[in-house]
Amino acid sequence: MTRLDSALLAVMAVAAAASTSAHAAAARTTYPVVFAHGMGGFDNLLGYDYWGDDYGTFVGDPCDEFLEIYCNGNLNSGQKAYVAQVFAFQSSEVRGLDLANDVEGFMATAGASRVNLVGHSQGGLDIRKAAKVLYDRKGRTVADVVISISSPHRGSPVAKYILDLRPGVTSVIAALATYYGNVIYQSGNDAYAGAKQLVYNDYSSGDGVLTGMKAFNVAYPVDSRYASRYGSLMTAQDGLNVNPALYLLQQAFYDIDGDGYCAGDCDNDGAGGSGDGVANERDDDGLVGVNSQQMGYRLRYDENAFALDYVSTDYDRGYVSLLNAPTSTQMTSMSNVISQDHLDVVGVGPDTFDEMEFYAAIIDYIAYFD
Amino acid sequence: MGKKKSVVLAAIALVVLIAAGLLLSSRRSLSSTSAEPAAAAGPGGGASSGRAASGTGGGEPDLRGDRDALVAQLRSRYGAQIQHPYVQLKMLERLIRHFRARSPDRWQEALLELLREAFPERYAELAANLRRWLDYERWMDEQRTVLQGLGDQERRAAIWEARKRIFGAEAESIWASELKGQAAADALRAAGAMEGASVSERLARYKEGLEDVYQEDAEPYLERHRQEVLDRFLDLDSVQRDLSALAPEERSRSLREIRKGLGLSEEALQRWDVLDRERDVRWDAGARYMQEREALAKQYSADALEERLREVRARYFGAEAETIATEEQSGFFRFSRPRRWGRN
Repeated sequence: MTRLDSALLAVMAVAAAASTSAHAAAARTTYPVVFAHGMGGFDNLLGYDYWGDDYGTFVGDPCDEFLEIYCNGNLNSGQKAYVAQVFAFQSSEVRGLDLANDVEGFMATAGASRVNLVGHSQGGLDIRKAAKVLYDRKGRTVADVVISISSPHRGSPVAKYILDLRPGVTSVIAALATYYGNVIYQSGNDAYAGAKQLVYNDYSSGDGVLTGMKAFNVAYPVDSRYASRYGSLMTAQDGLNVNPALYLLQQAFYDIDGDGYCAGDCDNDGAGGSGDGVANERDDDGLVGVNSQQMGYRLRYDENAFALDYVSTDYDRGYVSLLNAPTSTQMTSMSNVISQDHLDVVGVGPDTFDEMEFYAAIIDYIAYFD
Repeated sequence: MGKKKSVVLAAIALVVLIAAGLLLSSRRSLSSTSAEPAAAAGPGGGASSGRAASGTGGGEPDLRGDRDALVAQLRSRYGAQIQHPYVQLKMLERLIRHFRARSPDRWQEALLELLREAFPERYAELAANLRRWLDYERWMDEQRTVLQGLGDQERRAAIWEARKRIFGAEAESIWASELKGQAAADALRAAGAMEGASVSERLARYKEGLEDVYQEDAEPYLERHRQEVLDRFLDLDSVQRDLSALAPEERSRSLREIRKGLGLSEEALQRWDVLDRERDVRWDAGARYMQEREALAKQYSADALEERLREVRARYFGAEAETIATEEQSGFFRFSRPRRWGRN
């Protein structure tokens, strides 16, 4: 064996040992973590468990028994988590209020004084309203760290495309049912309200009501009174790699051009910002453009085969405090956009995205700040 | 190898050792710190804080050392449970991702070599499970459109047929969590559908169902998911119907019994007593507000109505008045919805 081999082997042995112990577990959060699902949830999205890995094991369940298997071994054994349930198809006015009620009940059961909120897709909008409602009711900050994942804070062109009954869409309800399943027909759901919520401007200006993300962002802003810290994880993938369900949507319906900047919805596609003229590229995750996704800090997700995956803050992209007025960089930069589609980050498989590690890394991040 | 080259190598080794040490110490210090005062408030909060994104995320060893490090890591992380097919697939998914990204052309060979080295005694079954996972991935990709066109039951049946065909008897063990979740949902539906049953009988049936599903793990399951189980039970239309039919005091007693039956502590029950009363007050105020609103709407319209409503909302709802006004602007009237006992 050469000296080179010996030296490297020694180094690698230490690195492997170091990485093994570094993989131990995410830190435990001070306050429980509440998971808020997106449109089409709850615990069953196209037949798969929403907040599970690809085999249905909940990402927030720590392993608290010796050699327990069906759990998230990356979590501290004392980690507390709760899965909220709101209507699959409704406006975020409705869903956010119901989420606040869910959280209130959970706090009574668990004896928690505060919570952290993690929302996927529309769940990332709901958590903003819930944070404000809880603040109003308690007269103090209840939501500590608030994190959105793949959320359309400035709308989604797909929602407007469907509402407009553009080519390929004959019915709003049928179109959404195609992609989200029959849950849309259950009592209490309102497909139109859900879709209108995700259009940036008021979709029907003459109907006497005000809907859409622009108004929602004014009513439920990023505000340090409502939550101590806001962050967002963003996703985008090119067409060929996107989940076949979403790829079909891109091909048959609409391929978002979601990485251009302007104030408001200047191109009237239903989302804030514009395109850069090239739709068929990695500028959206199948449902949401990158220019719609940043709220508060942009977060960075690092995968690591040798240690626990890691979430950190991308301070260079700045802080989106005014949700309707992000900077050009915040709307167009691909920096730290996770290369996954809209559904990879929840329990729709099979894929190789490690949901257990992803959410453990998010929880570890939250634990640092809560 | 010359002396100069040896010195350089020793220096490289030292740097990597220090980096590994720093990685460990930084991660631990990040994890154990409860707050980061400079950054907690948001904008301008400490651009150089410990949680700032850096150039590299995890400090991985170089390519040459990847395999040795991975072997050690895999044995340490999965070795004790590697006999279980679910654990095997979780590990394989992670490795597929790792090797597909690193060597797209020969990722399977590289992965299999690693498996042979890390778990020689399990190599044959790991290699077989890799093939099965790839077959399953291919089948799902090919069938995605067909599956989307099916109803829930048909889709589930088709997926399970494929899983059993591809993974054989191990499929039920691999997707055990999903099966249990489904069985728990079935138990809930059965409790909700009991003809002429009381709330306590439905609860007893639901608990029996959960015990059947989770067996000796039923209590740990409840411990982790007490609130979700309570939410789902109270979401049953039959339970809400029964609760609505009760007088207020009886209803309070019934809600307390449900919560107690699901294992809530006395302290938690007392917190719920308080919350129930708060909610009663909110709904009473809501009912009176809606009456007053209706009367005002007969007298005023547009801005004049809104001006009066602003005063009325502030009187009834205090800090939440602004949110209720926003909801109404969007066409949502929260007090027009039915009260869901124990839920809103």
